[in-house]
Amino acid sequence: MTRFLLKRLGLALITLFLLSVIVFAVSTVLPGNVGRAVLGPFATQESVDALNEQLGTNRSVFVQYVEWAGGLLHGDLGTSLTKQLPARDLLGPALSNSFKLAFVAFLICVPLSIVGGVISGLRYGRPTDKAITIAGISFAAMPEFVTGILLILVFSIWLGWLPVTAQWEEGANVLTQVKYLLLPAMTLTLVLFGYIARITRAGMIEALDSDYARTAYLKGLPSSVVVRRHLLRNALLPTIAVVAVQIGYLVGGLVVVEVLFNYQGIGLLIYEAARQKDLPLLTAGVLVVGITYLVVTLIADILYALLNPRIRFGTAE
Amino acid sequence: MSAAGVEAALEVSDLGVVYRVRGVDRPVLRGVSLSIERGHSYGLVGESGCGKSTAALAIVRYLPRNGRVAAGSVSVAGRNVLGLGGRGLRDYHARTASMVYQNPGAALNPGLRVGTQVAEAFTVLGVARTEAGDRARAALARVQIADPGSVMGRYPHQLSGGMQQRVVIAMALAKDPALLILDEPTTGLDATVEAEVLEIVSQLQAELSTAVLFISHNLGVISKMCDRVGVLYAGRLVEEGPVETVLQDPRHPYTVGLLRCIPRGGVRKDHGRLDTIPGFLPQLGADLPGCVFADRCTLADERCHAEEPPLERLGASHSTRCWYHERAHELPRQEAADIDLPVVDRSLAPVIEAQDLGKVFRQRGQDVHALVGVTGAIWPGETLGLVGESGSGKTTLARAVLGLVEPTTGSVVLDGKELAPRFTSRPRQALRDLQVVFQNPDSALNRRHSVRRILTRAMRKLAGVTGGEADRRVDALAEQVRLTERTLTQKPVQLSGGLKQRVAIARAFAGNPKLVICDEPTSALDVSVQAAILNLLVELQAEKRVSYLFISHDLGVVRYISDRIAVLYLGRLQEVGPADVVFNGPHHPYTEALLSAVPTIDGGGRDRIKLEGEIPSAADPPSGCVFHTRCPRFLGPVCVEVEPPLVEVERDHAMRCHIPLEELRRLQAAPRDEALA
Amino acid sequence: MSVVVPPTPAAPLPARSEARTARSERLRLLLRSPTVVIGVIVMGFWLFCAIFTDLVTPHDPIFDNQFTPSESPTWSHPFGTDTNGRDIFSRVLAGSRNVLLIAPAATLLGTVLGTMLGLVTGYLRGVVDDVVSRLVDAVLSLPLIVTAILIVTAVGKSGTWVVVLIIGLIFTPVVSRTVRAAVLSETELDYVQAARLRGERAPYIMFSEILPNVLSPVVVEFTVRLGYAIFAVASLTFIGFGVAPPSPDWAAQINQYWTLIDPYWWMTLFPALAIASLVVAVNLVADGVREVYER
Repeated sequence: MTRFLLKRLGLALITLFLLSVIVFAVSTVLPGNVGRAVLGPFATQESVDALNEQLGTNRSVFVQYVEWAGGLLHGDLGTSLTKQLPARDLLGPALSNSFKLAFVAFLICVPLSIVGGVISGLRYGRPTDKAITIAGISFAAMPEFVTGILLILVFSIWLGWLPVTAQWEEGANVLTQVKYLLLPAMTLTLVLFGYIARITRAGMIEALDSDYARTAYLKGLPSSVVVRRHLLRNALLPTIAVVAVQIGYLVGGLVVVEVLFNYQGIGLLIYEAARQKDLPLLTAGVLVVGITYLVVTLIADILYALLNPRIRFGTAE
Repeated sequence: MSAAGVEAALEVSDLGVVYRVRGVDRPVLRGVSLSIERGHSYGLVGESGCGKSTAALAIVRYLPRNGRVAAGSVSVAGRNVLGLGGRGLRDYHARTASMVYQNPGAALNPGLRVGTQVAEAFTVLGVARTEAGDRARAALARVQIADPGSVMGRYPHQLSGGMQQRVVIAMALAKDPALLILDEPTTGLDATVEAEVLEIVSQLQAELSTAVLFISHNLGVISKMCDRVGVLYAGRLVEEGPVETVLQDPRHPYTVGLLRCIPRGGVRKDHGRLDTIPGFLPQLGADLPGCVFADRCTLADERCHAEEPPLERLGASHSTRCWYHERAHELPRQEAADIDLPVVDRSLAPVIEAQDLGKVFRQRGQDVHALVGVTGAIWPGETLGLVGESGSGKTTLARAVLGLVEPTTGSVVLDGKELAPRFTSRPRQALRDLQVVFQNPDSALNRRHSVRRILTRAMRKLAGVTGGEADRRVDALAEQVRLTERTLTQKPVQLSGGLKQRVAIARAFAGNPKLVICDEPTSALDVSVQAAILNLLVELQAEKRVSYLFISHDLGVVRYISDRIAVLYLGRLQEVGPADVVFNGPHHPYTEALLSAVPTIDGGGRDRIKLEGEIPSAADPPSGCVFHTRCPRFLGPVCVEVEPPLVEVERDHAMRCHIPLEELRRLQAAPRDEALA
Repeated sequence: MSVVVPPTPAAPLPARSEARTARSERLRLLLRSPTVVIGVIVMGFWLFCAIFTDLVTPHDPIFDNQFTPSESPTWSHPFGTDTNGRDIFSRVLAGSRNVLLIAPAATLLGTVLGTMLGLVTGYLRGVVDDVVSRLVDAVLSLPLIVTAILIVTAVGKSGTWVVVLIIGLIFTPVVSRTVRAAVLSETELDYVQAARLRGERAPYIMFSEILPNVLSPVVVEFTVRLGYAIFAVASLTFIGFGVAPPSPDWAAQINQYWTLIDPYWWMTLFPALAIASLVVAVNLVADGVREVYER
């Protein structure tokens, strides 16, 4: 178990390092001339040089990386060009906003999709299963902005129940905040439902088909006990991994939803930084998204290991 | 069929089961009737696909979704099982019938502790939780688990296969069922473990007077475990009767054929070919108006193809379903001619030699000694049989010879020339000379390539011929292994297991190898097919003077095909010698135990030498003689302290034991109970 | 030693070409599923519209000011008109073009590169595999849209082929991971061992022995990725990092008009429904393919 954890942690650190290299390479090396990329083709050579001087992007790539990565280790994520503020001060609140939205979406989505997947698996091949599966696939397939727009049309414009944006007044209470968050959260829920339900369903079908399910059933246990005590435990294990990946997505892939609902999260921040060619802020934002994903999946892996006796007591990985 | 006055625990009459495949009902069981009295055991035998497991699942009402009972009735302890619903069915499962199946690792829930799972068998009967725990402990003790308390706290994956199966049996017997169904319960377990599990079952059966339905493809196991036996073929019970009667005096051609396929009673390749059953099992749900076996029966005439024979009584309790049962013994032999095998001349140089071969794997920070100082040789035209339990290093030895694993110590010498440790650095000629036939032909053949493509490619790489010449040689090779023209155009999925193995053998022989390593080449096959493959290997040896390193867990097969036998235990050679000498003794105590564990049709193995404990871990082998922890003839401190060398105790016969040969001869000649008392 | 239990069917199958049989059997199974048939019809419809745009559009989809601007749906303009006075019905029919060019091209690129990478890493293992696997992990820790935004911004421009390249390259590690897993389980099989033992070289084993056996997951991966590519292309266009208007494109239309959704809902709704119909169709087919190939 300790071995497993150390190994997993080591891998996560290596991945993190490579991620930083990739992000750095794309944002600094790919443009060729960063100053020119930021200022555009019509800026004078002097201003481009001045910016490169200011950003330090006229030095060797290696030196730049070492300095940048060194900054990262001290919590320095760079400085936003357009806002002239430390990226960290901008990303912090944005990230917490995104977590807030992700959390609400999560609360709606995870129980719903697990229940859907379990029912689907238990009714394998029957109309209920078909209906849940097809609905799941359809919603998962639709880009968030399509789902979001359809929801806005129905719930905000035609029915007038919910606000069009997720921009609440300063100091609004939790209930009001939730009301504003409901539409974007529902959009995310619809997209995620299909993924999580599918894995749960597959795990359920596999468990139903297993020899140990037969053993439990032939012991004379009622079906409800067989499902609850014997099947769910094993069927839901793979779901954890998927849910983790989806949280990563929830935090990072919010770009479209946050843009659509004009929600001040990290997605919108990345979007705006990109629009304004604020490369330092964009780079920092992308890196934060990646780190969030790595941390969440690491936690999920550990959770998975804790719940899985095969790993907890050693033989398998 | 039950004797008057005795209530049958299981009464199956005229049971028909169909599977619905693509909208059509296909019969899998056809009018099967059998009954078992309390305390008796009934064996159901037959090759794969004959419907054995379907019968079991129908009886416990757990048929797959597309299966259904189409006719007949099943009653257990007087209760009509097929009419049960909901609560009644649960009660039937909880109190009356139990089932144990193959692969105990899968039968236990990987996510629950053993104790919880066993206790469940009691709580379902309404026993309070704390008491259920105590009773679970007692149940585990009953299946001879030494430390039930600690086992209860463990998860299934932390137990060995034999222990897992004991746990499953403990659960099955928890409720003292009227009927216990065992479906291949020991297939996949080592012989010594199998023997132990079987012993526990028969002991408990005697105590509990449970009726047992024992399903197996292994006639030896059935003969050891059962009072009566039913032979199933294509969903029909073709013969039934007391075990001794059916096995000694079979009256159905299928039973006769089946028994002739099995290498036994000291039959060896040089003086007795194995018989085979021609043709193939009919396809699932085929329309069979006459006798189900007619298509493959050499006695069959028009009547057999047109009219289904009734189940005919022969004496008190023996019955068969054959029009010509009195002539069943006359079933013509398929392979009669003896064959001239090359004489092994041990004064020549050996084909291959292993010199002090050792392999240490690094696993989880531990050194696992898979192979320790193995030295030996195989001469031209000779077969060396390699036996030992799982983890004994058989496969590692084979892989080291092939160059698939790099030995830690020692070397392999081919034709007097030392080979590079990795096959990648060996000369092409060495690759041609050393070929392999794997256990599972499904895995060994590329399922996307046609048989011709597989063989042509092998011809090109191993014989170095291409174009028309390669085609000609492939045709010749195919003929040698009896593959038809049509087979050459097919892909592996279209072939039966036996044909696939022939293709794999042909591929190995493409470059006229000097040594072919056969790694369990027949263990994935039914006995009738196994016989044909063994015959083929012997024929090829006669023709080409090839040598074999033959690995198998089936001692009957090894004895049949081998000239000499090597016994491995924990990576060390324990005994090497001529097949007859090793089998007849005096032999190494481990060999002795191994041989005694194997149940044979002829009634051997009934007084078995019990091995204590489990096979020690190769990561932490015992001191001195590695077998001392389980040795039935343990001498004393010398065994613990000093590892005996492998010495030639008589001509060509080497052994690794502190006990002098004469002493072993004396001990092993004595009746076993006495010697061990 | 592992003891394998005898496998079930003993009888040989009829002598037909197995490949052909398997293929036609799969096709039969696919076409038996109503959802797959519906998906194929819808995909076919949009493909037809993309190829024969001029034949199907009642009005020119590009020229401004042909009609009264911002008119709600009527009989003559069933989907209404946009602020530039164009027939939205015609623009919706013409709007599948971009996405049906970019998405398949990107998917093909990703699938081909991913398959090669998966074969090499899965077969060779060792250091190459370790390094590539960690790189794949790193790339996959970023959502596709975020990576795409970063690359587009860094490169400084977007366009059809830029998007194809970006999505194709991001798909590569995803596909390679699936293929690698399939290759790993193939290399466990003895036929690969047998090939090595007769002296075959790595390229032959990878491409002639293993590749044909991992084509099923590749086909599945292609169809699933295709759906996701459409998703990605549309999302990128919607946030303005894809293809720019005025070339009619559903997501671009939504990008242009969704801020006017109240009261001009028709300008956004119909392109949105069009995208929905296409992605759902592709995914229904992909799901059918997965069911049939993974049995």
